[in-house]
Amino acid sequence: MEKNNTVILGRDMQLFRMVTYNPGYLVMFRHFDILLPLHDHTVQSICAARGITTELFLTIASVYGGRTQALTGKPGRGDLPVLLAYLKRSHRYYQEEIYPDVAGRIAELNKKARSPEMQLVDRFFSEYYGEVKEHLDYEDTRVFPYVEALLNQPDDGGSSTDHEEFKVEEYKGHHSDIEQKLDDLINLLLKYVPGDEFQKQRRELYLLLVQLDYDLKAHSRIEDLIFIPLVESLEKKR
Amino acid sequence: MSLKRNIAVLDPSEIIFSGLKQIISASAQVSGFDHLRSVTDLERLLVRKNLSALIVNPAFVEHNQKYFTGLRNSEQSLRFAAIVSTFISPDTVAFFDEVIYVTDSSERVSAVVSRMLNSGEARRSGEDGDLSARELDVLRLLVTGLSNKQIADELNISINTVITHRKNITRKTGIRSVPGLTIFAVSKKIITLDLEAD
Repeated sequence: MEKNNTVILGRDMQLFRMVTYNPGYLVMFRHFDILLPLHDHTVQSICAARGITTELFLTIASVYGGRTQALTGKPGRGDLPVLLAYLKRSHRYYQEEIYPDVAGRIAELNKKARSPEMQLVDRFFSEYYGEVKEHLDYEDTRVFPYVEALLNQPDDGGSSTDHEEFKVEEYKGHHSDIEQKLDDLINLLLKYVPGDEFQKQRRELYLLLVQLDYDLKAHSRIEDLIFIPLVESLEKKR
Repeated sequence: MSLKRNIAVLDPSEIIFSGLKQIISASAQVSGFDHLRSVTDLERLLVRKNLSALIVNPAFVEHNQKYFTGLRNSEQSLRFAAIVSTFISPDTVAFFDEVIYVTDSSERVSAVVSRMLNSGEARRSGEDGDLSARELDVLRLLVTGLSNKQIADELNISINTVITHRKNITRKTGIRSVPGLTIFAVSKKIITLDLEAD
């Protein structure tokens, strides 16, 4: 999946064209609950129909295109509810759609290949997926409710005492650990795990992992570079 | 038919070059022995000759990192040894295949040079994933669960050096995590594991 940094995304860009430039956008659309077929929708028309600001949509799309700078100042605190919904939907995608698919394929390969390396890969993936689930749960049960409570608070500065303090620094570190393990898995399967048989399964698994890796990295950047700064500004307001 | 092996010394010091020359020229394996004083000298030499080993003052490597890293990658059979008279940082050590100190005995210097000239075949076979002997040592201990400190103690090196070796292992293989490196080690037959049947 190619990142496309050179195409300028604007309000008049048609959704289907975005996907032809970068297939990764298909999954991004899914996180926004934009489903196939895309019809003739433009960024402008779909945002108007769904109550999304074009600023939020285009900023997230540029992160998908590989952008990591100059992201703040465009989506505002008013975008947080939509952004929260986006992140929650992403989690459901990971937990209900893609990870079970990957886990199933690895288990299948392990059953068929019966090599020590494949056994270790199966184990490695289970441990890795366990960490991912822990992280997603942490966000679902701690972080997101905290942000929702902040959003629902009246502006009079009353503080909420029944939520744990949101430790941004610790939370940021989680992402890179998890990303590194997926990188390791991809490199291992591509370069070192032996076995000439099951080439089709290996290729399909590799492509799926690359897709997952791409989306996860975009997801982490969106959280680190857009979501967290917005939450911090919300906290400062109190 | 014996292979002509060319060695060069990249160090401004005449004393160091003469000393090394005296020790190493005694070896039958070496046919060419050049004294280089700058990176330009080295570049010119590489155009004319096939170099088997380069003994170089680490300062040159530190100040020309990009050049030497590129050289290392493109000249797969060229071995690098540092000639050290003062201090060498652990990060720089990691670049070299061998380290020669000016306080070393002539026997040790000969042994080091001999290793460099004879290790060409082993490395090209790629059986070790192109990891150096030291990196393999660190990897073996790492996948048995030892900490950096424990590995440092076991191999009699500093923790910084262990970390540098780990960085190089990751750079060469693309794998960072210990369980990931374990799978790599098994696939390269660097270690074998007894796995319970799942």
